[in-house]
Amino acid sequence: MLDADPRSDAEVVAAVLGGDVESFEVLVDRYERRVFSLITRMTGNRDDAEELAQEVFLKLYRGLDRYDPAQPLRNWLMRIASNHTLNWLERRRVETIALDPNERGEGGLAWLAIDPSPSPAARAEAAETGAIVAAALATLPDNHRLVFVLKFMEDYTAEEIAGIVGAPRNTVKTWIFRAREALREELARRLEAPSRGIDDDLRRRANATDAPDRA
Amino acid sequence: MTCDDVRMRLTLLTGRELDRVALEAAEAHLAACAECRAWRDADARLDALLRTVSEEAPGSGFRTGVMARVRAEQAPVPRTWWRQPIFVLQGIAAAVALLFLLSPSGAEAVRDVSTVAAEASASSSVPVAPSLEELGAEISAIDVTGDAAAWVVALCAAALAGNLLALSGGARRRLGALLPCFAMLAILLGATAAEAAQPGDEAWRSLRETSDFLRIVLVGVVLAAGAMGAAAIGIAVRALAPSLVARADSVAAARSGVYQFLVGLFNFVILLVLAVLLLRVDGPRRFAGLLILVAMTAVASLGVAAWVRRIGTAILASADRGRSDLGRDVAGGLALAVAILCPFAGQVFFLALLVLSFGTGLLGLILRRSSTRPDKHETNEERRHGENDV
Repeated sequence: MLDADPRSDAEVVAAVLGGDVESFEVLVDRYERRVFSLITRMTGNRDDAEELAQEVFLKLYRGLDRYDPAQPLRNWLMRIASNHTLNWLERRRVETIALDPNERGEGGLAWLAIDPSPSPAARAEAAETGAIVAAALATLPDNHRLVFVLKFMEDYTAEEIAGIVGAPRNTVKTWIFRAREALREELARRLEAPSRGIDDDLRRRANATDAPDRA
Repeated sequence: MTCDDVRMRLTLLTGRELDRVALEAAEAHLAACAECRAWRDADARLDALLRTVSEEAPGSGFRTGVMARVRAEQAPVPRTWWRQPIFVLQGIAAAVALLFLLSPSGAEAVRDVSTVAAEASASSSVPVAPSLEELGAEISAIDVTGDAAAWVVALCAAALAGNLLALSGGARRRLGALLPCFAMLAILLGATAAEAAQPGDEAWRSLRETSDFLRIVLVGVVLAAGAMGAAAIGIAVRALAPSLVARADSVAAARSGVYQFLVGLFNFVILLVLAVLLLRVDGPRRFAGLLILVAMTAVASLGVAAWVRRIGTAILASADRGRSDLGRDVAGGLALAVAILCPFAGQVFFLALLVLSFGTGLLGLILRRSSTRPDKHETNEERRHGENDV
């Protein structure tokens, strides 16, 4: 029903600003997967991602009167999501350094959804692959991971990414290229020696996610 | 082309940016370079790996959670119209204007204007495009009962009521009701500029009789000045009150209906009458009139900024161009100035329109062709606004 809403983003925004708060749900419905996907891939953790994504939509709502309809709403939203996630990652890094290093794994990498596969064996393998990709992504610097996810997993253009992350286009292109090179090397290393490449925490999580399906 | 260039290209020109033509050179290089072929094979394996990772979807309670938090928030804009400063300003302006017209001196001023306008139109022997006096004369034709003041007062009261009615609706209605006021202000500014640019009456008339060319030049100058003025208003107001203009932007983009037009037309007529009156009186009354004009300007500039940007966006979009906000403002300003000043330009306007329409089409073709080339990165101020603050 919400999907069928014929109004454009700008019209929905105008309605919300006009006092029709409930119309905001249309925007949430349209963009929740996009926002959540990006944040999950950035943080590697669904619970954190869900909380962060909610905050992102709240930020969108609070700043709605500053929205410029000449720009696509989804790019603006992705910009908010990117900034919010980068800030959160930065904050967490500062906090975890102050904590006991043994607890550091808790909020960390290690979760990516995988396509449903026919056999349990294939599913387990795919879960392994998802976890390996997640682990490799986590080794990239935040800004490289961000542009990589936007370009290769969310299919934004370099031009749009430049607008989202607020960096010059040529810089963004370089980041994308370097991120891809680094990720490929990292993945090759991990796939060659999977038992050494993934830490215990990651392995435990991958198994835990997979276990209910097998039962 | 170096190996790095090739790899960069193969990496970047993927997904929605896939460009077969641009990739041809890279493919040719691959055929000749074994190292790059090995790189490509490894890269293809990464693609296969990434494809196994599916899109993430939030839990089923996500949307409900967001909406619960949103409802707990304050509304993003005050929902009651009287809390919005621009509407307070307009309300005050309308009330002052009404009081002024109710006073005996207001009624006197109306009669003055009728007389002056009638004299002006009677003495004008050369057929020209409508001037401010003629506009005034047309307006004084309202004087059916012989008492223009009564009509003006009635119209004022109705306009005020109409405003209150419009203001009680959503933001869209509120702004729609105000838009023609902005247009009126712009016309007034243009008319004043045209009057100021007019040398002594005699000289002006002989100029008109002798030289069409000079007239075209003069109109061109006024046009350019108007365009720069409109663009400057847009840019200045955007810098001073970004959030208010953004709101006006979103409203302007969302709707442009008959309703907006009708309600606005009402305001437009009323405020035009007021403005003509106020420009005609002297002394303290003129001061009061100026105050009203200032208040109206404050309101109008917001709308002008939004409209300049919107018009410019439309023009540039039709030329498949339009990434620069400055370009949007300037193009919009130019178009608005053309529209505003056309009544004062007479036949020159049609000439200008002709040139403009052909010129725009031609420009559009040229720009469309060249816009496929990559251009430099442009910073976008608007999108910088407000992501980091809560």
